[in-house]
Amino acid sequence: MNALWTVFRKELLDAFRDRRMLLMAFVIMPLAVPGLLAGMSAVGVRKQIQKLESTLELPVIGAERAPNLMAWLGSHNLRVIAAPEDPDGAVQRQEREVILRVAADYAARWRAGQPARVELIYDSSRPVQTGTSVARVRNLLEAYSGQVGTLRLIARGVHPAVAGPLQLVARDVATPESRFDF
Amino acid sequence: MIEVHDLHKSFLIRGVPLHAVNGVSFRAADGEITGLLGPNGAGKTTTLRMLYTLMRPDRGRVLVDGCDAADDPNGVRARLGVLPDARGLYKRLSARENIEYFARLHGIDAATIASRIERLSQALDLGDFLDRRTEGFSGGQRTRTAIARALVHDPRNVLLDEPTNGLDVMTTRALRSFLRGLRADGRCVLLSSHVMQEVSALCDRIVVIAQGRVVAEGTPEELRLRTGAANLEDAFVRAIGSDEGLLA
Repeated sequence: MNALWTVFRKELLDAFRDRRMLLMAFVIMPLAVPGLLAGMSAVGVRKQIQKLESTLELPVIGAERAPNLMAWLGSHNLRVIAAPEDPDGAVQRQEREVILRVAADYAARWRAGQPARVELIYDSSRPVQTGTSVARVRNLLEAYSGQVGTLRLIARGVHPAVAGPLQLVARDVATPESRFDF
Repeated sequence: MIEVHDLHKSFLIRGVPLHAVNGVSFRAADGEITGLLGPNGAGKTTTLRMLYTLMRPDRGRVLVDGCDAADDPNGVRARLGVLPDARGLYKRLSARENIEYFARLHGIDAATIASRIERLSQALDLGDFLDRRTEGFSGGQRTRTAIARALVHDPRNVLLDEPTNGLDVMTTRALRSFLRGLRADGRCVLLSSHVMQEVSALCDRIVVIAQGRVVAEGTPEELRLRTGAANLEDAFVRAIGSDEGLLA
C-alpha cells in the first residue's frame, strides 16, 4: 500500500511536469469534450426527427380484417406492407422494428361494438430509434380508438364530453434557449 | 556475496530458441570487485538481469548473501544496488526526486533519505545538478545519478551493467575511485564490461563469458599466465577462442 502510494505520487508528479500531457488534459480535453458531446447528441436528435417525419413502413398481419383502420393509418404518413412469415423472429432478428397484428375476431367484435384487439410486436431492448417508431404507431392507434369512440357516442346521442370529465391543458413554458436542442 | 550456480536462460526468437546464458556459475566475494567480461551478446546483461530478479532463470540458482532469488526476490532486491544498462531515470523528475523515489520504495524514512542523499551527493559530486530535471543530463551526470539511486538503501552488494559506457576519461577515473571506495567498505561489487582496460584497471577477479558460458575465471594475472598471453587483451581473445566475438 505504501509502495503503491509512492508510485502513485511519482506518476502524478511526472505527469504534471509533462507539458504536452497538461495541455491535453486541461486545454484540449475541456474544449473537445463538449464539442464531441454536442456533436453526438445533434446527430441523435437529427436521426430522431428524420424518423418522426419519414413515412413509416408498418408490416401488418391480417390487414384485410380492418380496411378502415389501414386506410386511416395510410393517411397518417404510414405505409402498410405485408408482414413476414415469422413476426416475432423478424423483430428479434432486428429485421423489423414494429409489427402490427389484427386479431382474427377483429371484424366481428368491431361490429358488435366490443373492444377489438390489435397487437403491437416490438422489442423494448432495441435502441432509442425503435422506441420512436413504436410510439408513433401506438399514438396513431390510440388516436384512432379515441376518434371512433367519440363518433360512437355521438351516434348514440351522447355528448362526447361526458366521456372526458377532465380537461387537461398543457402549458409548456420552455423557450428555445432552455431546451437542450440543436 | 553473490553466488551464481549453473544459470540457464533461453529466449524464443521467431520460434527459434536462442541460448543467451548456458550454464554460468561464479562467485563474487565481499570486499572485491568482480568483473564480468565478454564480447557484445555474450550474455552479460542477461546474467545480471537474472541476478537482480528482473528475469527468472530457466535453470540454476542465484544467492545474494545467502538469500535465494527464486524464494525471496524482495530480500535479494533489498540486498542489491543495481545500475541497469539503460540507466532508467525518470526524465521529468530531478536527480534528487529520482533518488528519493527509490529510497521511499525501499521503505526508508525521510530523515535517513535526506542524510543519505547528502552523503551520496558529496561522494559522487552531484551538487551542481541534484535539483535539476534529469532530462538533458550528460552521460556522466546520468550515470552518477543512477549510481546514487542504486546505493541509497545502503546495499552490501552492488551490480553495475557497463558502468563506464559513454563516459569521458575524467568521469571514468572518478567512477573507478568511487567503486574502489565501495570495495574498501567491504561491499561486493560486480560489474560487467566489454572493455578490457576497464576490467584490468579495476577488477580483483575476472569472469570471462562468451556465448553464454564461463570460459575463464581468475585474477587478471592468473588469466594472463593461464593462457600464456603477454597482455590481458590477448588472454581474453584466447579465452573466448576466437576474435570473431569481438566484432559481433
